[in-house]
Amino acid sequence: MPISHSILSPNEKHPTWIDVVSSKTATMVLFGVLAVFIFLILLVPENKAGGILNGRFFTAAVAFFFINLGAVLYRRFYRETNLSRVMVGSMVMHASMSILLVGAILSAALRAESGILLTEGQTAPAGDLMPNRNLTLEKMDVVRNRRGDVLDLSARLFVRSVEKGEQRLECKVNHPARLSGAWLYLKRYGMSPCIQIVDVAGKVVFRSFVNFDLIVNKADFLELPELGIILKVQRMSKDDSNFRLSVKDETGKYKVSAPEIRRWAEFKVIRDPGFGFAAAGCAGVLGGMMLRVMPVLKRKREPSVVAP
Amino acid sequence: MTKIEIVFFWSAVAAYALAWIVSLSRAVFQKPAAVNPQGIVYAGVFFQTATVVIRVWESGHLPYLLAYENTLSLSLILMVSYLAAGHYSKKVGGDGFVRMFVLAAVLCLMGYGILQDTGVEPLTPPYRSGWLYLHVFFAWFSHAAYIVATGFAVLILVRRVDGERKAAWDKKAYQWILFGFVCHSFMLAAGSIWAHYLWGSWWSWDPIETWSLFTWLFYGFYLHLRKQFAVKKEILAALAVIGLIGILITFWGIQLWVESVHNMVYESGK
Repeated sequence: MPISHSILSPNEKHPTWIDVVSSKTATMVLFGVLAVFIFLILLVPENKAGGILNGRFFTAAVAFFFINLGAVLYRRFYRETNLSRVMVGSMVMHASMSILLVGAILSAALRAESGILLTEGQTAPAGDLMPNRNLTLEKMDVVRNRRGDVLDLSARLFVRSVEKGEQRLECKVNHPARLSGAWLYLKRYGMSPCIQIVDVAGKVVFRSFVNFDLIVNKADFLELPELGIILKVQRMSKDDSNFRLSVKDETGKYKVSAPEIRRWAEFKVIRDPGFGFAAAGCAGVLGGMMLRVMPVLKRKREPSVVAP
Repeated sequence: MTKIEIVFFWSAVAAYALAWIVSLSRAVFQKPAAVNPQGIVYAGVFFQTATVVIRVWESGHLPYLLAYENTLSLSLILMVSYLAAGHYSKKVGGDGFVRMFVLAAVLCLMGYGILQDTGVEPLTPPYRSGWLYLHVFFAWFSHAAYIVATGFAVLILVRRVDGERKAAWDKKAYQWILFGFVCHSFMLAAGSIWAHYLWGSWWSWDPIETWSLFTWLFYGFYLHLRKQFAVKKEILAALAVIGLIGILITFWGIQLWVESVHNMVYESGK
């Protein structure tokens, strides 16, 4: 816990930003804010606590906590007691490891994930991790080179919620979308032709978008035992949109067609309250390590003593 | 792999092999050979740099996607690290031995690389990430530093010399391990952040991740032992050699035995 000082060192006439950040007033305000947050987290239901923990204000408060802690440590143990940079670096590095471990424990205990499968144009509730939100997959964009290798992949989404109304999101590989404290990842995608089966009388007996996975597998199947039909979808090249549909109709009474083709995508919704701590711990470890190592490098630059 | 790339690659291999043979003849006959091996090493580095530049031009991305590209880049950074080690350790001696050790490692790496798929693959979306570039970049530097450090450590173990010279080699091994350790830490951090943005899990206990963490802890143990306790230089040198075995298992061993997300990188495009 940071120890605060409001007394300036005798040589200083004006307070520096370190004095301000590590002052008693700043520390008390910070603790007050953190106490309110903790109180709120205790009050709200468990599924909403993550929203507060991952919210901007809580993140800012935690960031300010570390700035305050760093400033207080700097004043108390470095400027006022003349500790060496090596010792401070070592201290920061080892203290940050504990923050990293806290992040690991939080991730292991509280990390939650769920999945959403959507076809272009389809809307579905985002689930418990993003409560009161409906997601619509507007369009999947797949950019390929001539050989059929995927160069870019993105999903354009439309989000509807009671509090925030409507908003558009883009979710790409390596660039997950951030929504109400949770992360939305694009996991898998594929082709979804609309399969329509018509009988001899012209009546539509089956019509639905069917998700085929032709990225991992070269061929995928749809079996309709009640109609005696087996559909085989086979990828003809690396590009999964280049496929062939073959029908095995035991009765010979049906006509199968695919009047429309869309894409489907599977998304992963993740809430990880430990990531922020882990990232802060990581930054602390690396920063402390650099402080710890830099004097070694500095010593090397000193000119060597030349013998008379 | 274009013809020009093949020519430069094999020119680099030939130069390194020749430098190794000249260094060996110097060590065996205790007499300086007419040819300076250091000059041949510089020629090899030039050819290898040209190979890497052609590869980048040909593929349109940094060479880190396939096993061949990884070993090519790692071996170039290893050679540059060796040249830096030579620059900083002119007075401590043992340069010939470290050169032979590093050249042997580079030849093994290049030999392994050329036996893998040498085709050119485009960067697919998972590999288009700044964090991945940092992850791989620091991995190359840390592995190269550990190999150079092990060169000095082996020197301590095999040569019978006075304590002062041993202390100088021990210091060199320590400094290179420290450099490698810092790069190793950055590698782990960048890799974790990349994994978070790609999969949503910053640490998944993947076999290569776990081994990498283990070797990081091991080198951390070495550094604490070296700094805080009066441990014999031979023991520290033996630990440095064991550490490199851990790195070899991480870099090569694991992908042969078990399924790992890192295998995906090496096998992509097949």
